Amino acid sequence: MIRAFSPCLTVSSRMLVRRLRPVPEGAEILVSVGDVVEATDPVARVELPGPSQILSAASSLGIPRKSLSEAMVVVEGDQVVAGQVIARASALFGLLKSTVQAPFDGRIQSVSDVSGQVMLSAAPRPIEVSAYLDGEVRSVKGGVGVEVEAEASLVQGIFGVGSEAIARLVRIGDDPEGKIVITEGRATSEVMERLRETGAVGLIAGSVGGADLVSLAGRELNLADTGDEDIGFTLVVTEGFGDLSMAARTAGVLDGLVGGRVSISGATQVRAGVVRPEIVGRAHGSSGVEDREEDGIAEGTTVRIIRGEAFGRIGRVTRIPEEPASIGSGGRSLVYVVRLDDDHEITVPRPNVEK
Amino acid sequence: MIGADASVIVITDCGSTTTKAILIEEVDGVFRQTSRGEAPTTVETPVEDVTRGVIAALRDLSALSGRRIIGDNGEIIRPASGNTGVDLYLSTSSAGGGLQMMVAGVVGSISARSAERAALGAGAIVADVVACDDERSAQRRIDRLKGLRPDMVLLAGGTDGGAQVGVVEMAEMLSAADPKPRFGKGFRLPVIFAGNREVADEVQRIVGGKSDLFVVDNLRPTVDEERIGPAREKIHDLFLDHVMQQAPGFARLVEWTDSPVMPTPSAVGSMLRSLADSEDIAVLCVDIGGATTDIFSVVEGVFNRTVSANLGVSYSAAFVLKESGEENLERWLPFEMDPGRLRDEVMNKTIRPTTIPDSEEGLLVEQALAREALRISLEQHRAFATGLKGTMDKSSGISGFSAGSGQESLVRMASLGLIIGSGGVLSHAPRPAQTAAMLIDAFAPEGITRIAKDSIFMLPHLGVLAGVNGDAARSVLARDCVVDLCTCVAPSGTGKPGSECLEFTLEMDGSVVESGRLALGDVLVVPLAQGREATLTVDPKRGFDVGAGKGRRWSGPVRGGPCGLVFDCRGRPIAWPESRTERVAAMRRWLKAFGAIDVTDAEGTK
Repeated sequence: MIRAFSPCLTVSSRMLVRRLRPVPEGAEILVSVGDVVEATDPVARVELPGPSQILSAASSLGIPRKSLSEAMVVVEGDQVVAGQVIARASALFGLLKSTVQAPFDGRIQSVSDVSGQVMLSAAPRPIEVSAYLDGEVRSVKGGVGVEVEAEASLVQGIFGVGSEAIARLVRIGDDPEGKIVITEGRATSEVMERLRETGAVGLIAGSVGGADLVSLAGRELNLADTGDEDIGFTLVVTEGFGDLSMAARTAGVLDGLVGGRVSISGATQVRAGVVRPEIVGRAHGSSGVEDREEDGIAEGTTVRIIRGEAFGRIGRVTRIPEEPASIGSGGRSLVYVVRLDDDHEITVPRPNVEK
Repeated sequence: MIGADASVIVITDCGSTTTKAILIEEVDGVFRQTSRGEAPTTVETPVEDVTRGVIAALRDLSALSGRRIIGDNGEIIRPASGNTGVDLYLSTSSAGGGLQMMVAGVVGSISARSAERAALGAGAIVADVVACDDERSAQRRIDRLKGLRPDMVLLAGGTDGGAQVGVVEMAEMLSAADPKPRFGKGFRLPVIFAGNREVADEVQRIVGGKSDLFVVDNLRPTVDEERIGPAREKIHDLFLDHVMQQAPGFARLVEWTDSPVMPTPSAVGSMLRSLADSEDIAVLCVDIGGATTDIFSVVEGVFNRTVSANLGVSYSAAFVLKESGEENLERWLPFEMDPGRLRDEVMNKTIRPTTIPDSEEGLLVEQALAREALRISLEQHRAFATGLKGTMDKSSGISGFSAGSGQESLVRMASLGLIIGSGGVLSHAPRPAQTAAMLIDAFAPEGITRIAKDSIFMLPHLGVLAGVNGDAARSVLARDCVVDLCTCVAPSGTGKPGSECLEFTLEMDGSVVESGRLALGDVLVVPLAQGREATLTVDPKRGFDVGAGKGRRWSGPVRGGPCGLVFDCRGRPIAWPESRTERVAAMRRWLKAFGAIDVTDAEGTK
């Protein structure tokens, strides 16, 4: 039997989910293998390098650049505190005095008599890395990360905006403050504005309008690589742009998560090393761990059309021709023949379906 | 020379997503490309070994050509004997993102620009250019550089014996940002210093503790002299000796090849220079991909290359819309489309980049995106390729310009003899006329210009081959690589729509085969078969110029192609009707004239 390969998004009410919580070299690991953790528990504490700032010290003192070293009252490598005088100069027999003070706590990284500049590095900033999943620590690798595993529900979206959020999932219309809100249809501009104003931390929607998203963000977003934006909440879109309803299977799995705590991530990367946004919550539905379907599409596989007039329609592959066929654009492509849920049979380019 | 007497040659180009292999054989004394194979590139997880993709592509090539290339030991069989083995194996690579660089200079339009040209000419993708006079604060520059993971940095600035302060400031900024190299844990970032040699020691003191510093000749030894050769050669050396050694599997690939692996764009540049030189014409070549668009030009012996990093038709589709604006994109559609729906269509293509259009409407939206990506990329290329005071690169003769603002571009559209298009949206368009129309619409060539395509983007392969066997490379280039689509005749000038633009006669074998009179706004295609040549005489009306001067007769040979001889009398710049309805009607008429769409009823509606 011919088997072809098409990309697919994971939608499962119960499966093993593993997530590596990346940590840099030198991070303090707070958990051990076998520890049971909650999504909000910290698993590592990291000291991120503080920002560096270049101070135009010679210019501030009104002295030649080449005289900066003589004016310095600290030297390279010294620790300084905010407000501390680091360089001093005087003119007119001491009548005019000027100083340069450290703008923040840090370390003198360099002093240059050529540029007349001082480089100051701030003290490292501590941050904590959360477990993200309610699960068990499976591995700990210094400089790499902490791997957490959970039996959970997992829904991958097609596109997201913003970083991670962990909160209770509620339906649209419920009190959204501090919650993640779900709507199965298109999230309009008004809905998104209202959620932002009322303090929702996340929104899961079937679709959004491209223009609405630009309006909300106040700028065009780089859709190919997201995760760091701040539009007021984290957004996960399951279907795409336009007026598209959430696929029934996706809506069904998410329905089982309403009322409970979920973790979401808006990070999306559509280039090499693809990353899709996701919603992870407690496992529900049938007991045991659901097997993922074998990769690939064969005759009989249920697929979803993801482009063109039949976008969003579900069907079953009835034939996989070996040779390219003519398609509606006038070109030729490898195709699937798909019988839709209304028994109508259509020919679809292979890249335009997902499982 | 290695490979000069080889008669069976295999070349691979390890691209970001696909590794493409071609087989070149000497047949009856003539080198031809006889077969090709491909396989996914395997530089990323889970495989992380580029040679696995190379082997798979060579096995595909074996299956299609019948030649046994890989031996039982998993290595390339050499030399060729009968239907087994090869005499020469070469490769180019842009896998794993190619060569990614950051460049810095003191003045954006002088040393930073020269550094950027050196990096681009060496085949790099330039992730950012920083200069003391760019609009960002020092802190924002540092923050930006912190987030970059380049393969190497090129630092320039100051003439020899000239300015020092700015150069040291740039070195301090680099030190403060401390960007980490893309590959190799514990590997120190290579930094090439090609600035004022008098501050080389100070630069070493500042960045040497964190990076591996390499000092080469100043690329702007004086204000009016550019010398990018030494910096470019150092970039090549470091790419091979450092970066590629860190990339998964490349050390092994380097051992396999009979000549150094070239960065893909560098190989393209090499081949284009050879082509422009042998035909004595100015050449423009574009490779449009899903994420980026590369443009190469060789004009008056000067090579320029630009990479428009966010202009492409899938991953970068939304960015194209952002840069072009909805109206500019929509004007290329021969039907009306709600702007909100057009935006959603484009954004859906970005987040599902591997889907393909399955309707003519969807196809035309993607081709409109391609036109805008190409148009903006060309604008960027022309702005970059400025040749002003005639300063030449004394070390290589490859580039030349001097600083200033408002300079005229070296790439004048009327001077181009040949435009070559490559990349999926051009190569795989259902009709050759669609490819020709996209290139002509987007680039708006002026005068008489051949329009061609490199259907499988073989220029990189031939570029690396040119370094060891120039005759073989030129033979394959002429016979199998550059495929003529049409010759475009486009008078420059503007006027009142419908006013007289030109008269022409076309002769073959001494007989007039076609003649006509065209008005401003007309597009006409006259059939002229591939490989045929005819003599064209054009009499442009007053105010219009096809290469001999305004209103002056031009006569000369023209070549045919599947799209024949295209008369594009839409004016330069193209004269667009004011109203949206009229624009749609005009675009429908033009596409029909090109043969790019069918129009089946009087209203022009499909």
